[in-house]
Amino acid sequence: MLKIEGLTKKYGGKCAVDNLSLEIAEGEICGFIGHNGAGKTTTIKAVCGILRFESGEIYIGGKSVKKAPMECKRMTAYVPDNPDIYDFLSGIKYLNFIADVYGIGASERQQRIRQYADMLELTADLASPVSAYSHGMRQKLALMAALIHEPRFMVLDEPFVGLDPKASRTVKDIMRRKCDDGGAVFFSTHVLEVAEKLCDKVAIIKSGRLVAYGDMDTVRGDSSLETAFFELEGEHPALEGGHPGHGTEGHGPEAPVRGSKGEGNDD
Amino acid sequence: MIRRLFAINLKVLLSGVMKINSGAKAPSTGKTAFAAIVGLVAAISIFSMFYMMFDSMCEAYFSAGIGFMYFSMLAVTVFLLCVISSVLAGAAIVFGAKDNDLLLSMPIKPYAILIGRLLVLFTAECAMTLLAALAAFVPWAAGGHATGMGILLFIIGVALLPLMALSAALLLAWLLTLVSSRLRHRNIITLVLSAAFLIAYLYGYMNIQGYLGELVARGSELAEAFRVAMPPFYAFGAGIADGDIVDGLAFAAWAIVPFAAALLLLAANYHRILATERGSAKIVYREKRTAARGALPALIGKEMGKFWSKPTIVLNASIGSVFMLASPLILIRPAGILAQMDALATMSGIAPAAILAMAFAFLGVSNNVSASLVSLEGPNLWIAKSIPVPAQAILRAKLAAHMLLSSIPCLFASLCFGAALAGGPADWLMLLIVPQTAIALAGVLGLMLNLHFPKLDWTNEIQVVKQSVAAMFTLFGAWGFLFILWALYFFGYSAVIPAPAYLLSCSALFAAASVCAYAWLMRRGAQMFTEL
Repeated sequence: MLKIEGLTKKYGGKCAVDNLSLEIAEGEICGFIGHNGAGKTTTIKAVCGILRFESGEIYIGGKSVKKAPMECKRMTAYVPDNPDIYDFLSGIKYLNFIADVYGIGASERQQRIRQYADMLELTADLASPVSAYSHGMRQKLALMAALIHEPRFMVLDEPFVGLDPKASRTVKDIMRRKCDDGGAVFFSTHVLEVAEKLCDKVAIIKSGRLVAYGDMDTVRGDSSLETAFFELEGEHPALEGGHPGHGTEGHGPEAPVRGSKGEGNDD
Repeated sequence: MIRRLFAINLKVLLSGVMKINSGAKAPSTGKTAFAAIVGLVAAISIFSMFYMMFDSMCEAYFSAGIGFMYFSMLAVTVFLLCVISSVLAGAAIVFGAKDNDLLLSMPIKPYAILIGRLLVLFTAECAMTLLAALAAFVPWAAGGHATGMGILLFIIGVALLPLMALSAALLLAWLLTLVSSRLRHRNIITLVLSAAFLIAYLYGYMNIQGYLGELVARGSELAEAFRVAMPPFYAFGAGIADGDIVDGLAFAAWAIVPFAAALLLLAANYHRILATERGSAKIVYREKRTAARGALPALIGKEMGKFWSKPTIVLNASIGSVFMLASPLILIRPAGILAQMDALATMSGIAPAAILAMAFAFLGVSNNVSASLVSLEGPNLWIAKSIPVPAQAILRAKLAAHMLLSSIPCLFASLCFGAALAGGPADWLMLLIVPQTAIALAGVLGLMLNLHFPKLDWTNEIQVVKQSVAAMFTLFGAWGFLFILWALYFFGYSAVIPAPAYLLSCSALFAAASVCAYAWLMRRGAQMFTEL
């Protein structure tokens, strides 16, 4: 569903993402983790066609984001980390706007809005202006807007921030169901426990470079994802004694780093 | 702390003119020079306008022995202009800034936040005052009426004049914020009230020459009445014209005391005003079947929604439409206005329809809606960039919004005046085509400029709809361009080319330039949008 080949993005002289490659198959949820400023949001924005990149290629459903951006966007749902939504519209007007843009028919959209608003408990607030929404409500509205065209591929940047526990659970269920239906999900998070429980694959990025990538079981080895993450970051004093391998050779395309600790190209 | 807050606010104001984002690299030398030229053209235009006005008044008042009136007029002009330009800005900057919550959460005294913001408004008012004051000073000094004491009081008075305007603007901005926060249709009411105030002011200002003529004729009798009715303006004028220190001090008191009172009152209540969340009643959602629209109508609807969301945007970006919609009101008594137009036509030798077409073109290009629509995307830009719609369609929607908001009011005004004039086909052609082509050109140029000078990290809309280089250059550039074309006709070609031929040739030029600019927008402009 998603194939990133040698993605490189620079801001002026600074390399935000450096030769990053990974692949997510249909039916997979891939968690994307890393420190603040590691390059997660830049990668995600490049995947969604929001950000242009210097080199590399990104394919969604076999289509190039560079060459066929509209087809890629039609397949994709994107929820940003900070959902700034048109605050002059009401929630329902925003959803109708997005539905119009994606060409969703009146009855289909009505049914989907009803379904997702009920699931996320936003029905009562749909007529209120977005300016009156809390962060969590905006997050829910952004999720609903992302789902309204029944995308095959979901890209979510910190989707659980600001959500109440019930809504978080609902979002996780939606993500899992999307994959069960043959779609795929790529999301960033700082909550390693969530990533560990939810993801089939995990990608760890540090200073713009992928330092571990592969099946969850392989990346975390015998310990937890948190332990593996801190070891890869080289920040956990308790882990200095070493750790089992992180990532598996053979997963994804020519990703620069998929092997165990020590193979990372930032070391 | 106040100095630091002032510096930050001023930086925000100035960066609103040039820089894309606070973290973006500095603008190129070319863009800086371009912005400097825009500023210079704007300053020269405003100065020239004031100079022509004061130069025509100076000798008349001083020779009639009512020199005080000359400076009273300066005070009234500056006061009204500053108040009008600061009310909405004051409401947005002082009471509605997005970073108010952030600043209140910091260990900063609320009065420091207030003063930091007021100093920015004061600086902007000082710039306007200085231009008008210089324009009034030149004929006064050149006419040999200036005295040493007069010049001293002139300097003090001009420095204090913005304070008086700021007090009134603050009071009105506070009332506007207070009233509008309690109303359901606050935007519409604020918009109507603001537009009515503006139109009333301009109506009064346009007729002021008549009142002043009467004043000159009746001399001291009306001067006394003026002194009683408008004491601060009388004191300002009498102090400078007569070199009277007592009047000078009286004016200083009029400027300082209300400002100090307003400042103390606001400083004591500022935290409470900002922290009081009035909110509106919750609207209950009832499911309704909504008709699906195409992507382009949806995008146009979104642009229109953004435009109507704030009176600040409407009044700053489409002031021409406000006047064009209001202009047919003067046809309620058509005989008078048509007679005046005939007189003007006889005097200038140009047909009334041509004069009207030129005037509507001026009003039409006074709308610079498109010059801020890219910047207004601001934090929502991710939506436009993540939806499966090409950048060309997004730009087309912005252009369509500009045209709808400008063309329809212009068409309405043209039809009303065309019917009143009952002219021939050439008159109708001029009225219907000339303003519309000028509007189209201003629309595409505004969008082009906004793509070159986007400002996406604004804290209030006024930074992009009023203070940005794209908005200013679109406005002053279009005015300047039309001024040159119309002046060429008035002072050159009117004797050799009939008005319809000249104006329709200009229209063809506007249309051709619009087509070229549109083609650029659809290629390079779309690419620039995707790279934002």
